Amino acid sequence: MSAERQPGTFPRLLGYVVRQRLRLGFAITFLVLGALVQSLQPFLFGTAVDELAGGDAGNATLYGAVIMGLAITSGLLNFVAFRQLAILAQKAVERLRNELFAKMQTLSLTFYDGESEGDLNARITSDTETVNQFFSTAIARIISSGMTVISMLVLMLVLDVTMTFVVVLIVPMSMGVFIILGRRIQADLRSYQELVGELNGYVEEVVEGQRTVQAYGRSAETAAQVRELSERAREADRSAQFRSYLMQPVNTLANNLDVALVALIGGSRAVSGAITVGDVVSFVGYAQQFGGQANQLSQVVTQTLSAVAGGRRVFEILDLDPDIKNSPDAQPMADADGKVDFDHVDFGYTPAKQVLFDNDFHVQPGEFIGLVGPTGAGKSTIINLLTRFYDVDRGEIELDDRNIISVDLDDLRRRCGVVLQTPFLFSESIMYNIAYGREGATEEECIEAAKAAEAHTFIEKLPNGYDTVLTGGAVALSQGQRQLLTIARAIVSEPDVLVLDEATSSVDTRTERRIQRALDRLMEGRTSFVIAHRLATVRNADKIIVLERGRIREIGSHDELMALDDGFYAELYLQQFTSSNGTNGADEDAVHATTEAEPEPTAGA
Amino acid sequence: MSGIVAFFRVLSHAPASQKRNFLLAQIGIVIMVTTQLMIPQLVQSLIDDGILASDTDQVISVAFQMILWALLNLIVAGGVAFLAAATATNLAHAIRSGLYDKITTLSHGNVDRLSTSDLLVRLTSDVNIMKTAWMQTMYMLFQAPWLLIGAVALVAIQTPSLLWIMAVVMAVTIVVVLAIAPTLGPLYAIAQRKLDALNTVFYENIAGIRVVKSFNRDALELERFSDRNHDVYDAQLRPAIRTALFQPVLFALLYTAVGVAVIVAGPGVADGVVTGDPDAIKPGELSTFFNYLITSMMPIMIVTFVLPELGKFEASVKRAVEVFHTEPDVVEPENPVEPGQLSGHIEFRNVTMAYLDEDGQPLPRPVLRDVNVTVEAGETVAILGQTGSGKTTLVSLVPRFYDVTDGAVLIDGHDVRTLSFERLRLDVSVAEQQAVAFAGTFSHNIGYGVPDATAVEVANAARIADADGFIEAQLEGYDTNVAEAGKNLSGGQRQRVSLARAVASKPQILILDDTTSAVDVATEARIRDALDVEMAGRTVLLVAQRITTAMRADKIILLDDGTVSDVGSHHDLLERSALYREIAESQLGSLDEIGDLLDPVQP
Repeated sequence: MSAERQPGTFPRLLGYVVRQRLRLGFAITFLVLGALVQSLQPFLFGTAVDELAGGDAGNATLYGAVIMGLAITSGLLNFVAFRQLAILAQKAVERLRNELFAKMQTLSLTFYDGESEGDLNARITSDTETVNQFFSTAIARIISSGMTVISMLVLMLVLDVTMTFVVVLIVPMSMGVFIILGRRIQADLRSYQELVGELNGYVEEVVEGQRTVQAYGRSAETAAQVRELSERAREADRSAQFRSYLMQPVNTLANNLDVALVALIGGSRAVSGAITVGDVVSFVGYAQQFGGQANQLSQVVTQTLSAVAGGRRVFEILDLDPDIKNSPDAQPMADADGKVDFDHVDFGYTPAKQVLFDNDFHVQPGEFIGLVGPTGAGKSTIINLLTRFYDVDRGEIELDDRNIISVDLDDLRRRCGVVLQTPFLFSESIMYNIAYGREGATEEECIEAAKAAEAHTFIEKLPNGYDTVLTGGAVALSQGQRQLLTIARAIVSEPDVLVLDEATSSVDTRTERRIQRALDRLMEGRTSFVIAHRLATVRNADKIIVLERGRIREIGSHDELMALDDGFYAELYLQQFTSSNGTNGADEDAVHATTEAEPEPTAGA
Repeated sequence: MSGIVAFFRVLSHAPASQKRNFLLAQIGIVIMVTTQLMIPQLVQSLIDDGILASDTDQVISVAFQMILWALLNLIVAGGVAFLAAATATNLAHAIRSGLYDKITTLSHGNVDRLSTSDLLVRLTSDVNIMKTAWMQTMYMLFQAPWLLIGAVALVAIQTPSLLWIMAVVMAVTIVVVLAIAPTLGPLYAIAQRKLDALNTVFYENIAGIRVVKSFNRDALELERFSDRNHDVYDAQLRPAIRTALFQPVLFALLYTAVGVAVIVAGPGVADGVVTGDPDAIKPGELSTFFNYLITSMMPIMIVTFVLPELGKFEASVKRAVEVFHTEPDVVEPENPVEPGQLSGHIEFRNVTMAYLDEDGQPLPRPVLRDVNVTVEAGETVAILGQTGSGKTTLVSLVPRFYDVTDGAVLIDGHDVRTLSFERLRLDVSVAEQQAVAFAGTFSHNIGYGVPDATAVEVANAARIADADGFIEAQLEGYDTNVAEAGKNLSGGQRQRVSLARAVASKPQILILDDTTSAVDVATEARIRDALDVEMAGRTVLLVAQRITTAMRADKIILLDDGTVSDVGSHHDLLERSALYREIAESQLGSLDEIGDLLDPVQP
């Protein structure tokens, strides 16, 4: 049903397998041979029984030997085929994952803002896993069950046409039952997943917030709620488990009924002499396998449906067009002096909400620029535009008098180095993380950078020094130490324009001083943009740009701005030390109105 | 095998109704296995007594018997499946809610040591593992002995001369299964680990997308990813290929055995037909032998499949039991003193506090050492110090999130350990730095501690916490839904909601544990102004990182490495404490310059 709504997904999934023509052809050939050989067995056994029942044991040894020989042959053929199918499946899913990852590298931040992280992670893990299941089991089943069914059909038809119809009769009926049951199970599982998702979400929330639950005396209500959600999940779960476990008895029933039909019709015809007793033995053998094949094929239907659903979600990402791309006539930029110009820039993360209004400022090479203003005033947005994480709506940004849109995107970002508020490191070695700053950075350069960032000493003290791998709990670096590593990484990248986004806000005083020293060294001779909450950080800036609600209110050095009458900066500066009694009114609204302007998720959205 | 012991131990603790279910299911299983074994018997009867005896009535009778047995099998198997599903899901529900009930009695120290994420694993995936294993054991595992006995007995009676073939087939099956199956678990585990490592690269690239893009290292990340992806390919292929061996090998084995049976028994069967010897193997018996061969392989498969699951079951049960057996660190006194509403005078008397280790013993290095300090009722007191100096620990002792190792914390002269939880909860409220918000409306979140709070009270608390602005800007105002764990709120918004919640419960002692770290300076100042009015006459303890937060307090407690370095007003400390001056200078810049700015606002 889903396949109809999204016509492209199923053939596209198959494409990953069909692409490997040679291997697929090889596997199918072997499967056909294996299935043919295997379907000969009931026939041979039946013929042997026929002769024995006629009192003739002359060929018993021959029959026995042929049966054994065919058994081993079909085993070998099938194993080779299954092995190829396994490789086929793994290669297909490997390719899909690589494509997905490569795609995600090209997508711009707009995409990441829009997607919830949980949803994205689900697409990467569970959806690709569904597709993996499809490749590794469903495809093998389609091919191998298909081959077995076809070759059994051929042999049965050779033996006796009427009996073939008797055996096959059960297939459409039981397949119908399996598909209906399968759908019920799917529906059950979905409602169970939903309920258990709700339950687990709630449990996660209250266990993580357990202090609050206890502190406000809400344990009893919370426990009652857990119990209720758990009870609802139990009801859905019971039905899902029951129906899943019913599949097997129903399958047995189909086989047994098929055997009973063969017994009834085949038996009567054998008594009347239309067929031999050996034929009945053969057909009983086929009947016992045939019902099972129907079950296998019905499972394939279910698996295919969920793979198509999962595949569609994966393909949705693969089909996205990145909205920030290198323009076709982009020119390289080997290095920059660091002259930055914002010419009347307007911008909004969504068309509905403009965040920057007519931002116009000009920065000379090597200048130290402070960006200040209340939360949500647009400080980080300016940085996002400069590094082309987003493109401006109107106006122009120039680096060294060249519109940044005409500069090769990789080069542009290479010219800019960023240190963020929350240090982000990869779970790789420290060396990897520092060398990350620039392709081709040598170990010596990284160690030099670590020294300049005051990180060398603590790195040396770690058990494996620079080779220490930063994984989860193994190495507990403090927030400050992590920040020093990201500074070392920025030093390695040798940027011409440096961006520090609240780089020292989450560490204590002593660490902050070390970080500040390291940053000062990094900023020397480079154009630097520094975003700060604590105004002391940007006190020495050549220029401070004061933003409010996306508009530039003031630009000037600390002293110049402090000297302004009714200056907004001076007001902010004093607020740090004083009660805000004198600064109510309009400004209060200002902060409120702009708080939501940051690209953060908001309630009720 | 210890998994089975664990299974029965859990069963022995189950309510009587579940034990009854289990027994009923066992009876059902015996019937189920019997019906399954009946079908080949009927096939044999069809051939030998029907077709070969040319008896059409017998043929028809056999066919209808087959249908009856087949239906009986379905009904009984369905019944067993239902009982197993009911018992397994009841077990899951009982353990899940029982565990959570237990968790609500645990103190912060217990939860720290068990770890929140670990507790969640026990409540979710462990419960799931137990349920799955229970289901499989109850439905499948107990079929195994009966299938084995039935198949062996029937072959021994009907075709005793072929029994050895069956024995060989079973032996070879066991060898094959043992050679493959036990290696699968570890191989799958490796594959899962590799897959997790791969997903880590994915997650990291999502979480650190700015860094990846800033430094332009797409090529490097792609290489890292495709290397790991190929590791996953290898790791997943290995068990897949071994699994691919199963079916072909077992089928080959089965038909090889059939071939041997034809060779060995063939002459005897033919002789019997000719001589009419009643003891000879009949043709139909030869053909049912094939069925019993298949049946004899099943118990081996079942055991191989279910035993590892039972192993996981046992491990999960152990982890649940561990929680059930945890003794809460902080317990309510049996006969608490009831002084009525507290006034908010707090004394830390010779307080030493060390967190506990895994075994519940105090760690050798206390976090607070011999702290003696008094807070008068109605005072606003700031606690300042470097990271790790013990600020949060100190305030956590007041609501008894933790208990002291030595000394005592007294409120209004009463040791907090003699007060009821109810009393502490009513009079002490904490707004934590890692602010928590729950799914539900803003009203629900703010009125969390006072379920009967009026809309006016909620709005007033929100106003004090400076949360009214962004809440009222939402389409549905206070009725707007907050997402699970407050995920749709920014850090600063969550902090303000959490502060509003603390204020709404009108405590005598309000503890703010760096609650405004994520809001900007101007907002923080407004919050403080509103709090000064709201909390006038009541006690406020204020843990602060920013010196600007601390300097407005009546009194500042300066902590240094677990001891009280100094206590006094901003001006006192500026004058006499080097540590305080260091902090002040680094945060504010040159003191000479700010000195003038500060004076006018001193009361």
